[in-house]
Amino acid sequence: MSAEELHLLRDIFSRACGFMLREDLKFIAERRLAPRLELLSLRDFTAYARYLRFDARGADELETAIDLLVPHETYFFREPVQLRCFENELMPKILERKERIRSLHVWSAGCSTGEEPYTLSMLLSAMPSFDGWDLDILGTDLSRKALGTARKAEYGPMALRATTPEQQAKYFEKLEGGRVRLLQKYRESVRFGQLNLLDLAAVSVLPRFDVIFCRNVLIYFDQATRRRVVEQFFDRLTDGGHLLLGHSENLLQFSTRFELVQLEGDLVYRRPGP
Amino acid sequence: MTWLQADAEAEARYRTLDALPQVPASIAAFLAGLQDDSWRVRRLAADRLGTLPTNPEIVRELVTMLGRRDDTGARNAAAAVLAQLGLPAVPELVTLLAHPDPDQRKFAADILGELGRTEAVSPLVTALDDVDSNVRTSSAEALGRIGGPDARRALERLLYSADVMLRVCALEGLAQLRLPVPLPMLTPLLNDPLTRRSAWRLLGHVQHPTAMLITVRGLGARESRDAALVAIGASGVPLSAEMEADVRIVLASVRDAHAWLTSALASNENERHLGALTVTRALDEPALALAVARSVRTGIDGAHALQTLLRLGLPGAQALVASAEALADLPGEARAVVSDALVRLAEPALCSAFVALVDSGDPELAELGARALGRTRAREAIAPLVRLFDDDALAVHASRSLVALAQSWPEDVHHALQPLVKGKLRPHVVRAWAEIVGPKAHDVIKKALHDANEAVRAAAVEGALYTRKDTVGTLQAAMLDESALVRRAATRTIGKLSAAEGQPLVARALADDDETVLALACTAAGQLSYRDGADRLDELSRHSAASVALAALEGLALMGRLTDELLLRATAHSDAEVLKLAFALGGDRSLLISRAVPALDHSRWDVRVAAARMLSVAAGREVLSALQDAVAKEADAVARELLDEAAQSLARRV
Repeated sequence: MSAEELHLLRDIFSRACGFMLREDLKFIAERRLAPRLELLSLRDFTAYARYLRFDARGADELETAIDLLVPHETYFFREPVQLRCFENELMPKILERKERIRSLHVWSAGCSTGEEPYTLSMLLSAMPSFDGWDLDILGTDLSRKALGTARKAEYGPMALRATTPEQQAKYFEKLEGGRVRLLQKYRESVRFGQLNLLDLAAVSVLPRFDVIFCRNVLIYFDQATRRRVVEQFFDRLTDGGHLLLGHSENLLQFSTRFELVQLEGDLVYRRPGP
Repeated sequence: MTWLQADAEAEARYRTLDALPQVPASIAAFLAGLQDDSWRVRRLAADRLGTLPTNPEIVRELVTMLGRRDDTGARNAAAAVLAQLGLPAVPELVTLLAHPDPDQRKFAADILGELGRTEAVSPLVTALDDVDSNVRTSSAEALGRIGGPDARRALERLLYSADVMLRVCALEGLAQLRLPVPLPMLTPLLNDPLTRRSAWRLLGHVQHPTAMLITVRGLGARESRDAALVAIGASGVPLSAEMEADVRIVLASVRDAHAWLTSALASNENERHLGALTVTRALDEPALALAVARSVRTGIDGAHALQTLLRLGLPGAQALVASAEALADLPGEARAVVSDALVRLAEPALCSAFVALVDSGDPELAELGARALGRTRAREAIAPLVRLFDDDALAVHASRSLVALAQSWPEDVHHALQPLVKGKLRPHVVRAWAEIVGPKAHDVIKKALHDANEAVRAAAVEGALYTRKDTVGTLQAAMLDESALVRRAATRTIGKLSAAEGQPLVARALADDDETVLALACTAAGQLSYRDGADRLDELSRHSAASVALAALEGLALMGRLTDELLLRATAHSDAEVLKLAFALGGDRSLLISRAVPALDHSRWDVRVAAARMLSVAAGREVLSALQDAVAKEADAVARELLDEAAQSLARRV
């Protein structure tokens, strides 16, 4: 893959979903996409770029290509410090604020194979104060393949790397080959949907959320796309709702309408409000 | 209390600056922004100034700012801007090298190094004699960044300096520039604990058998082992067979060599990592295969890891697939490399391990298993692949793998697939069956052509090519199918027929009302050299859908029927991709020059590059300056390089 071909593909992916194919990923991208060229009988990556844009099956192939290139690796109970903040600092505020309505809406944007929304479900189920509440956790991702895995809720050891044996015993049933399946009761409050975060129309029909998790997703976007996506998050939050990003991500590089709130163990973003 | 509440004013200043246009009139505000209390405001101001046209006054203002000892933020921001300004910043910075304040002189040397301009070499060489040691060190480092013959001579002289920091800077600079020095000059520095690591790094660039021998021997001694690994990595050259044998002998006596190499493979230091991969290749030790795979991550060159895994061969592949769990635990980058290696190394002995990957429950590993099974040439691979037709995501890989296996085991694959073609038909089964059994697939194809599922009918149409029985009749019927998917399959297949068979069919396809079919019909017309269809392709080259216009132009090019008028018209198409293709197909036709010159300012970088390439072939000296201007103002790094290639090519030609 030449630098020019990488650049052509980068433009296509960036326009489609904001994904930035970086120069240092060239070798890996080549390894991932070369079998697609073989399968489609295309001579080179320039032809592949043309195929993505103009072939009748281009849109499907674009989805496949992005699926191959965007990392899906995640695991249960990732970034525990932030999860503790969610549990111990944000949830008490929401309990107080929404005591009368007794409903909680959480969005896991870019949920990949579902570990994050399921983790949130596990955490919330362990909080007796939410008994009787209407809990709704929405996991969205661009990848249909990842969502297929999420709906099956079956995972291998890699997904459990931060899950203690006690947690494994409590939340999962064992399958063959070291794999596990999440128990049904922790799956009930989680629903999934396919969503391109750049699709303004699709995002605008989502309900308002009390908390949005978007961890380790913005790092794959260019600056302009990040800005657009963050603005959409702002619009989809309730007044006083919170946005939680991954530990390596922040919004310091551009103006937003968010307030930056320093909690005991983490920085989170808040839509101004009560 | 929120950060924004505490610093709402800074946020307001940021927003004000952010809203300013990128024009010279905003320069004063951006300069003021460099002195703001908030680092965000300073950074924004620095970013904006770096992209605006500069002048000596701005440079002087920035250099003055470097002198504000009491305002570190402003100094650093000014330095960041100066480092982006290129040649216009050099004269003022050279003057600053003579400033009475050593701190200022050091700043000047650092920034000149970052600018990388050879105009600064001579003043920096003079600054190597500065009374201040920090200035001397920064000047040496700067020379190591800039390079060129004068810098090289100066750095080589520093190898004899009494100042150890200067010796280290010289070694590092020469290594960075990949400029080896004669061995006698380097040898004394290899044993000095203060210069050892840098000296070994430079030794890696000395392309002399003795240097490599010293390096390999260095692996045997505890104090030089790591440095020698770095030298091997820095050399970037594979070891010869003799050297590899030496490596094996030297490391045979080293206790815990595997643990040491495993740790080096995990290193974030690029040269150490590369050295470890090279030594692993020499050791040919399959037990290190998983460590090699794990060493692949973002920013690390995966090509060397792939070569190492391929070198470890079947035993290495067996070590990799021994545990599907270990493979599942690899990060995405490592998986990509391992997948490539395993598919290439596939052998019958790996068959059961690949079946385990298929059954692992991990979609990516299952796909890898399905692809790799097709390369094993093993009869045992057939049954597990046949099972995969039940899985929509894996069926396509199963189909291709079975086609590959049928070359070794035709009867076995035939028998394994037979039950599947008797029941409810599936597209990939039909396609594989036709490809594998050829004429014997006629009955199945006939049945599939009447299937209610359009994907099965489309597969049957493509399969008809292999039956060689009433293929033309099948395609004729398919062109009347109500499903565009089926008509597309038919049109793709038409292009693979002989001209005599295909031309009557392509005429029908060129009359289709579906754009996707039309585009494929244009391609087929080109492949079949269907000259009677040239007028229709000419008409379709004006189609508003770019996919059709592109295919029509390419079809006409294949027929040799691209007229000047047609190309000129194509440059006016609303989709830039057509314009790009017109430049590519226009080759050396000078009539497109008048369209290509303005396209050097096109909003899309790839169109600018296509125009430049066309000009480099077709134009004369008169457009050279336009091309050079385009290079100078190009903001996109990749496009700049490509435009520069075109400009140089034109300069050479005229």
